Amino acid sequence: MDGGTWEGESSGSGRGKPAVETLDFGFIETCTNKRQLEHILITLRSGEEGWYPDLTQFCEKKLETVAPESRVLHPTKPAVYVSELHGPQRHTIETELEEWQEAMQACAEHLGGDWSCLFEDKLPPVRSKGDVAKSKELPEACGLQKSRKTCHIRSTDYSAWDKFDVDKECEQIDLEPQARKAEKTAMNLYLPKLEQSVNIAGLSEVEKWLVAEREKNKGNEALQAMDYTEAVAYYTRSISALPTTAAFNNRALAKLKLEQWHGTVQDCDHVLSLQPRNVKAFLRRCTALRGLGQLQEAQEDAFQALQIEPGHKQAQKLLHDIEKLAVNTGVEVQRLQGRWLEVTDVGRTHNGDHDCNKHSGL
Amino acid sequence: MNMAALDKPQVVVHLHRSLDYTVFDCRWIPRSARLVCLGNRARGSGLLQLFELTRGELKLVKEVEKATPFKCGTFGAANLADRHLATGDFSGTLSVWNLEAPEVPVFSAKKHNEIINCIDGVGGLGIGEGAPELVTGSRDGTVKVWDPRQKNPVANMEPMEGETKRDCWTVAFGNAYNQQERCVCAGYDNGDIKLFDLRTMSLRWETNLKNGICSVEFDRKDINMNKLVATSLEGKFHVFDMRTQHPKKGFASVTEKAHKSTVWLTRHLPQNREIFATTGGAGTIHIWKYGYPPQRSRKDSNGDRMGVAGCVTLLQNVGVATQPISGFDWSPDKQGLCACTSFDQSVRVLIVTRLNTV
Repeated sequence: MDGGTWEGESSGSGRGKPAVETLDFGFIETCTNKRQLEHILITLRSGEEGWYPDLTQFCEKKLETVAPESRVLHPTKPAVYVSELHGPQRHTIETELEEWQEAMQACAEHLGGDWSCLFEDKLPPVRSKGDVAKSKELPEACGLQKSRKTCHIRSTDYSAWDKFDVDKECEQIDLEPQARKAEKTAMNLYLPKLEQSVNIAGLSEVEKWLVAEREKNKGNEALQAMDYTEAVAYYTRSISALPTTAAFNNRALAKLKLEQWHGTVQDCDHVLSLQPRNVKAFLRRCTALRGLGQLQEAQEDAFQALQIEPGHKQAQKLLHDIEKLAVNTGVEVQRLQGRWLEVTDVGRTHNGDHDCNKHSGL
Repeated sequence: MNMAALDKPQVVVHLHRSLDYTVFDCRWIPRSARLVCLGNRARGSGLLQLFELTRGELKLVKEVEKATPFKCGTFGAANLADRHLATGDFSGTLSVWNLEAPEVPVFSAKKHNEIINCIDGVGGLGIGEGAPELVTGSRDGTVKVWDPRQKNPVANMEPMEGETKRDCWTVAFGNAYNQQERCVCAGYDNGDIKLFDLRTMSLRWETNLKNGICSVEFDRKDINMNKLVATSLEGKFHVFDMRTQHPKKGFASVTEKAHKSTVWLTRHLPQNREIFATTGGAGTIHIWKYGYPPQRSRKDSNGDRMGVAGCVTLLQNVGVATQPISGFDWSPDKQGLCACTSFDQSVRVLIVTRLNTV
């Protein structure tokens, strides 16, 4: 029986027994068909064809090499109790929980900013009563208090045109092609009309931190799903609630992905003013400056990064790229080959740039 | 066991406490190490118990007994200052409780004719823009949206005249990323899933998955709706990519078999939207991770955009109880900490390790 016969078999129930000759060391040894091996293993485990512990184990091992992720290899087992764990693992879990419980008790005292002001002034009015199934065509619920920014302004509405900010709109249009570029990978049919700031009126410091943390977390998730425009919006919201260097640094990365070089440089400047030895900020600014064609400044940033972390792979690569680019375009950059060779000798590896969640904390 | 197995998240039972009543739901009180369990006493009354996680035990802090059994609860529309709990009960009453003074509800309305099976909240706790709102689904076939500032529901989704009423088993808010947008998704006993757009007050999408829908949840309530997980009666769950709605085909989805029995619940990890848990009828818990495809949408032959579903990977599967797991809640404050209630009349506090490295 060759593997081809198994094509199209579903992994679910409703299939027959495997042929007896397949329940054999020789056959299992040579078999590389995941489904067939799973099938054989299930049969062996069931004991329908007899009990062969060695063969079963052999089949398990084989399946593990062919398809380590196979569900048959990971049957549902009873969960382990903390008390059954090894010393160190148990200790880690228990102390972590104790610490967290104490932190929760401490923070209970900091909650309770004056939410009433939030309720009275800032909440949208109660939604008007609607009946969805009976009135499918109901145009729009009331209770929308925000003016809709995307609405077209009527040609007769002169007061609205007075308020129209041409510069802002132009800026928007300038930004669009970059956004579209990102759309190739990250699909977002309509960009959400996200507010650029979070309403934090009346919140206590802890609550602001919570809101900022949450928005940053959403930014990290969007970044990982390659929704860069959305990520920038969430980081901006996080910063509006409570400015943190991590949010600025992550926004710099999101802007870098959107090739918004100026924005990246600005965010990195901010991070570096507070954390002058932040390697990631140097590297992001370096990449952005290279994009802007400011090769000398870019080179300087790469040097800085290498000085803080000698042998940083990405920094070395960037530096190399910049020097090549400089030769091609005829721009003069510092020739510090000696210095650059010296640091390459330190053979340490470092992670790449997709490290936003290391900052995310919590 | 190979190395990959050692790197996998592990589900560990931290605490197990037997209860003397049927417990349906459990919820962590936000910003605390406290937990609320809701259920039904044998004598027909409702019980709300408040536990505190302290020094390696689950200490009973408070107990409140009411005339009608509780079915479900949420803190979704509460603010962090007072953290009021909203509950749905067997008589069809929606109540909101101040847990510091639970003698009388701060809000109560009986507009459903039968049991409230499910409840969800949005707009509180800094989750979701806009007004705090609750949604309830009932056996009477209706789904009602509430603003606790008003005694009557602000939206009511019911079958049109002549249509048969279906039992609504699950509701979830989503898409609440700005002050205007908000969606409610409801799942019914006949396999219907309906997505109501609360901004336009219209039915935005509906589909039928052939088997009763036990649980629906968006990966996050407060973003431009991204993914929706729906679990069903016959041991399957579906993950819909909610970013791209094709005019005819709707949303793309991936289906996965799990648990070999009813998939009672799905709950997303609050700290990472791509990770979610499903709970099964045999007392099992599975932890999953969703992976996006390289392209989340493509154009069909007519030039319309259609979504492309990703894939789900099983991170861990364990048996925790012998009976169905009816309630499951991740702690919003401590990654990996979760609680579950089961029909074996017990509540368990679990820890899922290594979630930050998957």
